[in-house]
Amino acid sequence: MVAKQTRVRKKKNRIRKAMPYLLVGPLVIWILLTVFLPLSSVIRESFYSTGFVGTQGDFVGFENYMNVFGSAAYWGAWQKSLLWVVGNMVVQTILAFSVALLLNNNRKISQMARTWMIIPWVIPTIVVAIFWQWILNGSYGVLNDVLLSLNIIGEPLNLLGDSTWSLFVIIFINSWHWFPFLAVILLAGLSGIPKELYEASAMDGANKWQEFWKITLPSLQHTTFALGLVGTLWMFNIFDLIHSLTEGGPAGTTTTVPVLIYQEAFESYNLGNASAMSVVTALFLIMFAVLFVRFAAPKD
Amino acid sequence: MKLFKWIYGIALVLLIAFPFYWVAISSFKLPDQILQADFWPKEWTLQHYNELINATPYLTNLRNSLFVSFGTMIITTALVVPASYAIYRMEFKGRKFFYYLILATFIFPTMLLLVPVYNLMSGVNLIDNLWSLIIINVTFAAPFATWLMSGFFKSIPPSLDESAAVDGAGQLRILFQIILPLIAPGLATIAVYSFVVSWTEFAFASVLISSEANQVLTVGMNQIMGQYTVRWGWTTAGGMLTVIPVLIFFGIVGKYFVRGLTEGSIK
Amino acid sequence: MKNKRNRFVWLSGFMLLLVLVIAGCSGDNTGGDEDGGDNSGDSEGGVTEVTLWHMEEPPQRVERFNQVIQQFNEEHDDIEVKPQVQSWDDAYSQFPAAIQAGNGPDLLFTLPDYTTLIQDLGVVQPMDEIYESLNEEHGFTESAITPYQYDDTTWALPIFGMVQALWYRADFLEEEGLEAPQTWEELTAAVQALDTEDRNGIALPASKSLATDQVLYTFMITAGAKDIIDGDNNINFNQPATVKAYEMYAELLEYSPNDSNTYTWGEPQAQFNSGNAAMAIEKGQYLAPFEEESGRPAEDLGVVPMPVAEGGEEGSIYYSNGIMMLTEDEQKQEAIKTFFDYLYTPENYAEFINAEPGLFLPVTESAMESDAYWSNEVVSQYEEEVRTLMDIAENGALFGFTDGVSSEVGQISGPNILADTLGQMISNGMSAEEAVEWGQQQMEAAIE
Repeated sequence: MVAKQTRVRKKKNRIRKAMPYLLVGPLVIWILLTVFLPLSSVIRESFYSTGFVGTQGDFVGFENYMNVFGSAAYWGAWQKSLLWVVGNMVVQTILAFSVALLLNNNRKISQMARTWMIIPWVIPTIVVAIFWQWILNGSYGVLNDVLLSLNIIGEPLNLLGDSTWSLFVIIFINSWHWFPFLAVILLAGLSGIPKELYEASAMDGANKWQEFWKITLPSLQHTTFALGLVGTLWMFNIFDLIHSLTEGGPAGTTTTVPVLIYQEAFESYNLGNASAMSVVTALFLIMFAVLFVRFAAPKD
Repeated sequence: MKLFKWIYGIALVLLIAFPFYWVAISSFKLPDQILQADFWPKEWTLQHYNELINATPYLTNLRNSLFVSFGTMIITTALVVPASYAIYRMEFKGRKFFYYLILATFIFPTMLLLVPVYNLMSGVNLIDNLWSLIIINVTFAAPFATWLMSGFFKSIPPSLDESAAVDGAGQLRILFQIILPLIAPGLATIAVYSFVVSWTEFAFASVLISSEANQVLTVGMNQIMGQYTVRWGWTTAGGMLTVIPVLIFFGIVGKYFVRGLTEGSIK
Repeated sequence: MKNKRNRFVWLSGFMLLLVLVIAGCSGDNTGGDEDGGDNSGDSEGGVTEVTLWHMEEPPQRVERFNQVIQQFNEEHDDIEVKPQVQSWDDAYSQFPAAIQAGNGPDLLFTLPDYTTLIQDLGVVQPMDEIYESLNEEHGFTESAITPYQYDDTTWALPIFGMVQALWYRADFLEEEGLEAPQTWEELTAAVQALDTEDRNGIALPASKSLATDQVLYTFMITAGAKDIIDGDNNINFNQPATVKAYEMYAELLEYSPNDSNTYTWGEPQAQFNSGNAAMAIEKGQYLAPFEEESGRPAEDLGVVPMPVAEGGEEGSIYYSNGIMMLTEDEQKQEAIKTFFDYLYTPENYAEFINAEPGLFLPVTESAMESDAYWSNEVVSQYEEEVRTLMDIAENGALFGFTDGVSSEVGQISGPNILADTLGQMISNGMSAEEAVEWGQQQMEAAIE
């Protein structure tokens, strides 16, 4: 009788022990199969001289990696990628923060605006590209038309095709696409700050500006940390917007790392090199993530 | 200060809304007027919409997109909720490891997985099948959804499941009867999030689907744009037709999505 | 708490609704999936299925191809040809993977350089037998078939040709008292004269794209530099005639709209039809929509062969579009033969290629002489122009296929090195000499 009870308890105990794994298991297996399994084939390809997708290359050891490290194009793309990531973070942070602060109240209009401002984020990238191509078009875009009729410019601007400005223009467009989402997340953080903190500082006679730096920002450290990490990785990996707006041009000025990898694999038919680039890039990103977590994680 | 706030607010509204307005208004202009920058059409026409709906498989694409997006939404929710419950509210060996494994999916440029994922799907005979899109969209929606859930789980006092455990409620029953109702806003949030991820996906949809019968909206849109001819009438009308369904969807659930995000997420 | 529970009930209801919606959708859907996924499917009840992939995405082309093929299917109970439209964007990423995985089509549309790439996969079937019998009956034109015949084998059947010419607005030329240019000097002079305050002299593509590659190559042919790469993959890009072609192109770009470096095929045509540009160098797609889009009568559209530089030769880029056979299945090959017999019959063939009248030029003698082809509304309206295009086609050339067949030309056309070379001049400030030297290096590195 007693033995049976212990057995039942043991069994219960085993289920209890196994439960977390049963709960987390399906998702983990899903991700292993759909990301890490394909990834292993990328790593394998990076050691082969595979050219055109679908053909079979020879084993070449680290030759692809040597190519990548010696490739001016690859490091040039990193330079653009850094500019791209930093530019996006700056523009989006400013926009998202200001919107979040503006809407952080209980007025009806703010509540409504919170919902509808996120619309740019829910439309497909390819449609975002169409929207802005149509507006910025160098020959009959409405922006040029307005600027010309106001006599601000004398010649239509070719913003997307200008080798100096195109990167900044697509940073702006991408920020338009993403900042509403960040703003909502920041709003979440803001609404979590206890009112008493502000009341206390108001008693101390702090102005809005001091309030922002002394209370708001520190209270948001968990949010900003998470966004800093996830946002950076997200922005870095953006490919389709750049591809559909400029295809990395003009003359390579918007060729970020993902765009270069795509071109190397599917336009230059060099899958081996592209795979090696992917692996090296992923390693750098992992390094970034580890360092970021180590040094920027909130202390509490 | 107040005035400044209003001016800034209006500027932001313009920034967000103008592209929609401009594309919408252009799509109603006659072909010979569309290149002129009139802020109001001289004459309204539904010509582009008519042509588009008749000449392209828009309705089929729409149905496919809805199927993929809702499918992704349900599966993502079903996978993420138990997983995040385990990760955020249970102690077990490897918890951190699984957590980072899920989040690590962020790190890899998705487009570099195109070919291997294609091979994978073809290995299980899912090429040109909408389920392949659901599978891959779940993969890309799940990590952030898991992460979003953290705030919701953390906002529930741990004493709650402890007391339930004392009552003798099983772990699953705790999840379903006590926790789930409390994180309902979180559920809504990740459901909408995964819907949007799926709705906007393009690269895999263009690679994994080969027949017109299974094409989704984003790919159809890309074909409308065409490479040999520029037809802004069709392009703008197509853009609107791609945006409208998601606007309707958002009109219904957007409130819950944003409220969920602001109530629960990362604190 | 009560509030929360309410919301939960609401949410559950919502989810349930969604499940129902999806169930409804998927009910419709499974049928479609089975058709699509089943590529091996021969002889189901004695019907041989042949899948055909083409990359002609514009809706009217899709529709016309489907029509002709459906007609064939109706007349042949034992064969079903299934056309599926694909995108050229996926041709280099998805198709090889699909073909390797056994999900590829039985028939695949192609271009000469794409054939050399796909050949590496070892799946392209010789089509000599089909070619012989069709050639006897319909007579393929030489410029169309040559790029697909090498290693003593016919690798694809040409289906239609495309050729570039100089399009001009006849009314603008008349206003300025100009004749259609025949030499480069005349071309430059005309472009300068036609360039006014509110009109561009010409519209040329200058983005890094195949569109730019193509127009550039037409300039290279007429400059006398058409042999970029020979049959042994020796590159001869860096030569004075090439430099001359790039200098000319850059000079003309001064009179092209200032956003030309974002242009591919569509934009120059839009500029031309809206009267913003007086000239353009492109293929036959300018005919069909001219009247409707420009609001001008047909006689305002003029076309002449691409002007020739001193020391150059007459000609233009000529793209022979073809169809490759990828299936080894004998039953399918037999069915394909029946399909081609049907397709190349002038009546059916004319209907097929007039999906894009003027752009898709016939590649068989029988079609060129048939009433079926010439009776098309657009073709008959612009008969003179179409004949001009056909004449030009005889002098057509395509890089990589001018001096033997280069097996590596795909490595040059894939990354658009011709266009990229131009980009170095206009965006990075290189001189034509430097840029062409840069291009030569890129090409050498690409084919390594």
